[in-house]
Amino acid sequence: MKGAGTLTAKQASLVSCLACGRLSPLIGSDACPRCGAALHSRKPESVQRTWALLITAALLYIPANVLPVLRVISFGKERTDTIMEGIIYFMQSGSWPLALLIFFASIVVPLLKISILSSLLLSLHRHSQWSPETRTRLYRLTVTIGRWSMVDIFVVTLTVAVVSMGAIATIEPGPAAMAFALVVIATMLASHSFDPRLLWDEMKRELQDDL
Amino acid sequence: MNDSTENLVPEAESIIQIRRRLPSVWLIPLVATIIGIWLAFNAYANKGPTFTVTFLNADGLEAGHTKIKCKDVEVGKVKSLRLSHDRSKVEVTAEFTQEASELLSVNSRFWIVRARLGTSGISGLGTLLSGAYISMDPGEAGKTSRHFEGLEYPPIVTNHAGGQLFALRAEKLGSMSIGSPVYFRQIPVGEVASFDLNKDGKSVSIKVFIREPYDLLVYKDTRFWNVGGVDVTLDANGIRVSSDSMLDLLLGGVSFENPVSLDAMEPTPKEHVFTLYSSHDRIYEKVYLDRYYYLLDFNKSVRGLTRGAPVEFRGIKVGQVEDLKLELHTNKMEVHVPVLISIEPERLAALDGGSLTALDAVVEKLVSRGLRAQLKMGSLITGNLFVDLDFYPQAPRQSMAQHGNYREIPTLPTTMEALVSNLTKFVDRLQKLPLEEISSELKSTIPAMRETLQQATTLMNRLDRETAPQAQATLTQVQATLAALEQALRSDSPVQHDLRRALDEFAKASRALRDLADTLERNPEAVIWGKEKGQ
Repeated sequence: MKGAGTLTAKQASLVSCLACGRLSPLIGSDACPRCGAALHSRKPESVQRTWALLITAALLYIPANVLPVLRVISFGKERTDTIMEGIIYFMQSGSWPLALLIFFASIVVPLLKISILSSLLLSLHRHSQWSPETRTRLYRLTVTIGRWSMVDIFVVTLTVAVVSMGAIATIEPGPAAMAFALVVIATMLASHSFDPRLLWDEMKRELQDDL
Repeated sequence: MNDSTENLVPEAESIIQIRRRLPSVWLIPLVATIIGIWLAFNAYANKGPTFTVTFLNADGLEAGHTKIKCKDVEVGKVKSLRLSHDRSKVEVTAEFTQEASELLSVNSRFWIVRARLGTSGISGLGTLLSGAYISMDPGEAGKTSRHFEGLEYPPIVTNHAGGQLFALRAEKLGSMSIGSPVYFRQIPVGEVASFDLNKDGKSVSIKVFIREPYDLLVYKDTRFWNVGGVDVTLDANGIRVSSDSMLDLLLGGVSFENPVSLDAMEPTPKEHVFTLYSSHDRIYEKVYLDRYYYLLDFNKSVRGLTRGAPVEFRGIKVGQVEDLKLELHTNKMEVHVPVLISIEPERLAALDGGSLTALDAVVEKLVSRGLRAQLKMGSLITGNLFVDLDFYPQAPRQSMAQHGNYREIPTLPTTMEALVSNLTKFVDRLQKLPLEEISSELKSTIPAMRETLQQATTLMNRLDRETAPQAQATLTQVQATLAALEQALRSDSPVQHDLRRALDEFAKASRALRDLADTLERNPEAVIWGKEKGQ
């Protein structure tokens, strides 16, 4: 309980500007006097928004894996592959590193993000007291790795743009590419709308209860 | 802390407010859920039933990737491939879209579209790159089925193609194949859709598809003929070679035309089978479908008689020789040459309302009246024989015998045979002459003849010896006489001179006599009174 004893800005009736970091008095200031950004003590409706976006991401994750992500039309022969089929294809053709990379970026990362965020949210609901530091670290992990799952979408868009040789080879994005992009966007927005300070508020409340 | 406690109240209120009204952010997962459910429902609804199609081989088919197309519109996908139980075929399990599966019936046909080099050109070239796909023709609506037999070749006629199928019957296929064109006035109007050997194996039935609107040109009397190949005719008019375009020469094809006729053009009856003639020249030849078979036993050499040789009745063809062979009856050690002929009763015109459909009975009657078959020489050069039927009332009475399946028409020997037998008879008669006696008599005559000849020789010798010198002397005398005569008749001979003088005298005398005659004519009295003076 490292930060248990520290005073939060909220407790000091102050609010920090999320844009420029300036502290303003909590009462009577709707906008940051310095940068003009809206001031909120905590991100508004953080839990609800995060839940909503997480559920969206989880829902979109199903078509992203079931539908084909790439349509390769080579010599007029069409081949459609889902993400998992692509991974298996690379594994069978011996490109282990590539298969691992795609597996990590497309399967592990989104799943990890969804599960971490949902477990954090659940911990909030359960008023969990378990190591807010670890949970904060987990949260930072989701923010850090979150952008890397966009790698897949970049690969798809790049190959689609580069491999466009008419009848010889053409690659088109499949419906799963869109779904996958939406999964990534939804998870990034979810992690963005999550307010890690809520993890610490729980501890404060306990302290207040103790007091 | 006062501030904070004051703040707690509005904060609490605000929390309640938040809890009461659902934040708009929940619209996002709601929309996603609705879209997801809709997609899932759509996918489920479009997930058509699965069917199995069997093919001889699955060349180019890929489970999960090969498509099923109808008019190049995707209607399904191959789910799995597996060998049939007896391993002779491949069972393709395919999933169809809902609307496509409603089209399927027992009449539906499936075939694999691959690159093909056919008579009508190259098809399915696109599949070289894209890989094979299964094409489907829904066919007419009918009973539904879950199992289909795939075709090995793409069908020519698909359900939606406008036109009609016509059945043809031909003796042989010629150079035709599926896809060979059908022409009307050398315009391609259709294609050969299929061909098959008839059950009896004696003819080929061909189905041709003629597109709209040309199918309306086919009437009951329409004549179809094969345009493939070259037709070389050698006859009294010389050699004629006729062929359609070079392409048809190689590919074959069918052409048709409507004969000019006084009769109204009747529409084609259903199930009508047209005859496919072997060439344009033959389309107006009658084709006789009814045939009756009879057996002839010539019991002699049939050299020069071949299959297809005509059977004529008084010079008009009524049928042809179908088969001939040599038979040895082992128990009697007799050799026979049975000749099978066919007679086409339609070639005979039955008068008096009679019918020739029961030809056997008619032939029976004719045989009892002396109908006989005879081999005759068709051509002196080639020595080809033909069978001639005619009445020989003086022939011995014979009835028709039954040999196996066929009845036998009695025969007469060939004209050559008759000639030979006559010669044989002549020789026989010659042999019967008493040649021995004649020769012995001749032998006895010969010495007498020799004696006679000797006597003749003696006589000749004597003549030579005695008569010849005398004859020579006589000749000498004759010669001398002739010389004297010549002497006497020469111009300077005295005889000549005397003769001339005598002739002069004779001339003078005759002149005097004429003068006298003149005088007497003028003065007849001068006979009495004499010649007047001064005259």
